[in-house]
Amino acid sequence: MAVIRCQACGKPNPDFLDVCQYCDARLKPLEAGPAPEAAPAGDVIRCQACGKPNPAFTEVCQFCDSPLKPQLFGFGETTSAEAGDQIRCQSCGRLNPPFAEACQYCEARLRPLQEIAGDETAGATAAPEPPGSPGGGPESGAQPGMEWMRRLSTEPSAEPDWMWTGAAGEEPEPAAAPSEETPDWMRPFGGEQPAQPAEPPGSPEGGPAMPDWMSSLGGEPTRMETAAPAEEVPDWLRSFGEPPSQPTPSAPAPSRDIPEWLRPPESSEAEAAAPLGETPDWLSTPAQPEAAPPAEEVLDWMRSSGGAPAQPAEAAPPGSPEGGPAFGAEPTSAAEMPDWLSALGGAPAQPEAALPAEEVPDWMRSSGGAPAEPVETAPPGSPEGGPAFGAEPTSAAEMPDWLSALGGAPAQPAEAAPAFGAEPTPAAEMPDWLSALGGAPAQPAEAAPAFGAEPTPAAEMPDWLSALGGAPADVGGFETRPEAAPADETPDWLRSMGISAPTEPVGAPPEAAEAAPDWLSGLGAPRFAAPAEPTSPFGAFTEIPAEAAPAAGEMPDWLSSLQPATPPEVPGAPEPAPASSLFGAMPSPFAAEETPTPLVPPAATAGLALGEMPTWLQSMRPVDVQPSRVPPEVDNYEEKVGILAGMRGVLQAEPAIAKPHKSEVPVQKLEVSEAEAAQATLLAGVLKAEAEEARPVSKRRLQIALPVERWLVFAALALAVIFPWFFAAGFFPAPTTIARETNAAFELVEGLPTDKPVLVAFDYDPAQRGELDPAAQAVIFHLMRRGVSLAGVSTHPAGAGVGQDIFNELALGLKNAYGVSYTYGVNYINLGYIPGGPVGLLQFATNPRSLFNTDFSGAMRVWDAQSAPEMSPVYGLSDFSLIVLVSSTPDAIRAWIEQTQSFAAAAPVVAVVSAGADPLVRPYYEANPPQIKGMVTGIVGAAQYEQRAGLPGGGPASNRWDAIGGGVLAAVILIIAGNLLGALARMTVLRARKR
Amino acid sequence: MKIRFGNALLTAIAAGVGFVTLLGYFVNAPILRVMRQQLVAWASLLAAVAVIIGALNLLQVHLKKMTRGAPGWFYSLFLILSLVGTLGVGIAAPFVGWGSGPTNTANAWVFHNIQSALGAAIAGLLFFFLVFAGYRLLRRRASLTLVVFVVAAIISLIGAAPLPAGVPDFGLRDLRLWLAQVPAVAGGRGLLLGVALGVIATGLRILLAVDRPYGE
Repeated sequence: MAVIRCQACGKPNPDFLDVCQYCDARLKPLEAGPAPEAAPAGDVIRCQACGKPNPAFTEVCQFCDSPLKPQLFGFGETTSAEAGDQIRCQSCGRLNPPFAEACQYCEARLRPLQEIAGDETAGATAAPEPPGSPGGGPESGAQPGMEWMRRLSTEPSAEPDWMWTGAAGEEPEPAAAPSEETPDWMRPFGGEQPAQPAEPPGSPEGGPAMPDWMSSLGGEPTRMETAAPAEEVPDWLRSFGEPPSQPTPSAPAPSRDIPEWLRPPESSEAEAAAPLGETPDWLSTPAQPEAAPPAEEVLDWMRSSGGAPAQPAEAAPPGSPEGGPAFGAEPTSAAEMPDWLSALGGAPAQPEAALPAEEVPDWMRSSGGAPAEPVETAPPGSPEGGPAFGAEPTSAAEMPDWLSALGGAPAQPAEAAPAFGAEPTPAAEMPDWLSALGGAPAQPAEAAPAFGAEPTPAAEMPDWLSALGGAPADVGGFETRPEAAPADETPDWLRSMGISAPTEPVGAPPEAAEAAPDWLSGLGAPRFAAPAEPTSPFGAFTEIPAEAAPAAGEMPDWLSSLQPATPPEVPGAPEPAPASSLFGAMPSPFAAEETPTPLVPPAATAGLALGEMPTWLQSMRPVDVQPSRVPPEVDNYEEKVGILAGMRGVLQAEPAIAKPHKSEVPVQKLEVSEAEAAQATLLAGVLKAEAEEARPVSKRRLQIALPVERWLVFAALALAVIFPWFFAAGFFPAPTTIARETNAAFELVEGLPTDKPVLVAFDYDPAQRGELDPAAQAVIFHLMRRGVSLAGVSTHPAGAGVGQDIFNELALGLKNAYGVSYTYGVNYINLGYIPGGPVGLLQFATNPRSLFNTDFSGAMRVWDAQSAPEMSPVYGLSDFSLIVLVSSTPDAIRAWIEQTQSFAAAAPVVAVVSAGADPLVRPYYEANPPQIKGMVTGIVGAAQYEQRAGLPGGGPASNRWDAIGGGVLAAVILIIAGNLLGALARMTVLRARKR
Repeated sequence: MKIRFGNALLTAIAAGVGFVTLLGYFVNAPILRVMRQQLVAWASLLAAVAVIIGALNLLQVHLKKMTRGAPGWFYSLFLILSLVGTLGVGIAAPFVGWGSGPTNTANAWVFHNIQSALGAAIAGLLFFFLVFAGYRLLRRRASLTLVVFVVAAIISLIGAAPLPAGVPDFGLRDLRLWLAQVPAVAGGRGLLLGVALGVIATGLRILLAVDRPYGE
């Protein structure tokens, strides 16, 4: 991709760019693109600014936002620009359509007003086209650009609604002597043919025709006079040049297109302005007072200022020449016309219609806007009456000064009250603000010049206008001719402001052209030299430099009163609207970003005193805005990939807002509890540990797997149990001491009577036989050796079987040992299983006979004296001499004690329990009174009991004593050794971790 | 068939029977004594029937487990075979001449050679595993509780086990007796008291129909 280096900043830019992406300077010179019509039909329109193609349906260039289609001021539609060379704006250098009057980009005038006036005049001289006919081309001397205007005037049907011609198709009335009746600036609208002035220098030759209203602003009566025929001039402009002498009101044209506010009044003046039948009402002269619009159609401000129609409207539609003024239309009477309107040119001459003097603002009254004195009953705007708004004042007195100053005030001085802007006759009548601006009117009797017309005498020029530049050429915004009126033609009020005619040639681009608003530029604003001080025709509202103030004698009182004492120093560039201005605090919608161009040259404002700002205005004074603290956003992103590489201002694929970023606002400190903090720390430690590199398990020399270790322990225990059994008999001596509770049990059994049976409860599983059988056998053998009858029961399903086995074994052993025959059913019996747990015990305790009928085998009847004579005397638990409870769990012992305590008060209870149940059974033994009389605990208790009882052969416990000793000793040794070794290993690991 | 009883009826039965039985302990009235004895007798019968129902339920569960092929169905098969075999042998023993009742030859054989043997073997293995657990007790974590436990176990073993001739006990026997009779018994007493209070509370809850384990 080629690179173009910007000549302004020197940075490289892609070649396809027209504007530098860094400094927005143009990289390529502007090239006048083809005319819009030359663009490919229906597809593309090439932008005239940047030369890039755009779709036909777009109106604004996609690249540079320039309008693709020529824009015409004040009109919403674009006309088909005729083929012609484009005009290059002298301010910004951009190309504009040939028909444009002002630059589309900087809003500077492309052509001088004189040229426009000349165009209009040339157009006016052309034969008017019949109404209804399509708009003609550039002919009859009319400029090509004014074709649309011409068409409007000739073709009512083609006119937009808001620009109703009214008097379309009507031939312009032959104007009277323009110098006598119609101001020069208005004359072209009225079809008058003012003297053709010379072409103003600098005006483009053959430039596009300028609208009449624009050309008329140039104050060139010739141009205005040579403006397009009346029917070609918009209605709203027509009234400016509408001669008041036009007698015959034209037929009312249907107000079908032009809005009411633009419709010309249906008055003779409106008819007189038939050539300018398109003049809007607000500019047109009210024809008939009876045609005044209904009161409700007139705004209150108009009504209050005198615009309210004093007479009912006729049938003539409002806005029509015959009809009363519609909104914006000229009031038919002085009472209807607002003062400012009447002052402009339509001051009603009717005394009864005139507003009372107190209703007319002073400034208007003094300026001649309101009728200072009763005049004839001629309707306002009528030739007899005061000139209607926008209408040609019949006399110089009627014509506003600024109007007369602009374009040739009618030479007929009128005694009628001057219109707005007209030269006030007496200085006393001039409002203060206006008088302050220009002092007493110098020539009160002079008629105000027509709008845009060339003011013949300087006195005819409105004060403010004369103050702007004295000669019509000096009036701000208005086209001036080289042969500007001499100084004496400057309106008094303007002259009083000290504004002299500018010396610069007309048409020269103003220095501050960009600052001129549209309406001002349309008025040819920057024609006067950029004043050093901000000046304004509305001098009362602006701070006028002292040096620019007119002579003291000439300055109106109101203006002089407003003149600041110390005018501000103005830098080279004109200052923006001063704060003291009435509109200083209000941004002008038309003001460019640059400072607005003042209307009054500095020289004109010399001598003016600063006005005092009213308090209410001071409160509205804008306060200095504090500079924003937010730094301006700077988009320095430069695309680096793709086809947009190297370009700036490109939308990022991922907007910055979507990019995750840390909040600038510091996160609030979290309130974490201790537990949460600990958990968080733990979690962090776990995560850290996981993140750490996994370390292989250190290999130990004696690393032994767990199963091997287990087997080793098992083997050691087995050896410890087996070896003493076979090889170390007697290694562990028999116990020589006996426990207290064991001895108690022995004593109890030893002292039992033999006539009552003993109940033995075998409440343990075969799994616990290894521990409990020795103890149970020791006690039962002792009982059997004493010859006590035994009855066995069990609350455990397998206990009965255990009991059966024990009974059988012991009986056999007793027989073998002592030769005593212990017979089942006679000496011992097994009752069996007692179901229901505690409930069964309760039932058994309550009535044992109800629970059993046969023994555990089911073959013997328990309560038969013959079968079981030892059980025959038993009817309750108290009939037993002893209750021996053999259990591995304390629950059974507890259940027996709880359920049978009340029923076996006479039968002592001996418990034979395992070593694990001893702590929970001993409380019953140590209770007071004890609930258990004796206890035999585990193997040790059995061995002690055997030793105490002196059982032959020692007994099973004694026989297993060595194995028991070996096993227990080995267990102790293994437990101690294993825990010690484990503790040492753990300590070693911890030390290693710490290291 | 699932028979649903009203919660009110069940509650009334349970509460009524409980109050009558309890009242019979406080009031020495013949009628209450007779009722109490009769209710207790019925309870014994119900308990016996419950054993049968329990056995049938056990059979049903393991049959389902075996038919569904759930994990461990082989053990369920052994259980079912054992149950059916034992029950069948017991029923058929009188007819075979093996005697009658639970003490017939078959049942005795099963009891002596299977149940007792297996029980004894499991109890014996328990000794080894307990010792091995004690051997590795402090290897996983060494807390004060574990250390005290290990020390208490060693003292109890040494105090209770036979010592070789000539080996002094170092007062461990007396220490063991003290541990067994003082702190252990104290703890035992506390447990028994708690159990007793719990039994009273549970009984009252059932009597007052707060807990209704008998119904939905």
